[in-house]
Amino acid sequence: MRNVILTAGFIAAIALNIAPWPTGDLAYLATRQLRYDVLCMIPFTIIIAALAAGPTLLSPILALRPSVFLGDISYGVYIYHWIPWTVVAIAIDRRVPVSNSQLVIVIFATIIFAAASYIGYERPMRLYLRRKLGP
Amino acid sequence: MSFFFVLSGFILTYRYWDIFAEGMDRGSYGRYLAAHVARVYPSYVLALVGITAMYALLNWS
Repeated sequence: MRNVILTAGFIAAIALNIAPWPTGDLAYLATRQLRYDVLCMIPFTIIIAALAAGPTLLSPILALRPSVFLGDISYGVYIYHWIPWTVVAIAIDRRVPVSNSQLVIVIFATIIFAAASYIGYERPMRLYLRRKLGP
Repeated sequence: MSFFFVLSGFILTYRYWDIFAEGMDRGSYGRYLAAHVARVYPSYVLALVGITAMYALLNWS
């Protein structure tokens, strides 16, 4: 049952990306905003609920050490990604957003930076601040 | 972005539901705040400084 719900969530998320986009700048922008800022909450909620409810087909993969580490650094990936994104875009052709091949560089650089930050800065700082601030 | 909003709402509820169900007092809310600041603010401040420096260096907004 969890696997069925999880699959439905992924199908809904993919559908939001591949469903036909309207032509015309305003219609495209409005649809983009509706899909990526509002409607995407539905598949995301379904996926998170299914994964949190218990073991699924993805559990063995998500339990691997690299997956768990990716989870640990995910906040860093989220908060730092704008830096390599902008540097790559500006350095290469002064254009945002970047192309698909540039995206590979951006993702790679972001993960390296976030991993270094997690090990050398975030984790020590978290332990230090918890000791300092905690009761 | 949206995925993180849903995820953080879920995680905070998952983690603190039982603790705050017994009532929010200075102790429990203080521990939550300390853990929150310790986890979120170091990278937040670094990103803020980094992005500000990046735009200053690129002279582009």
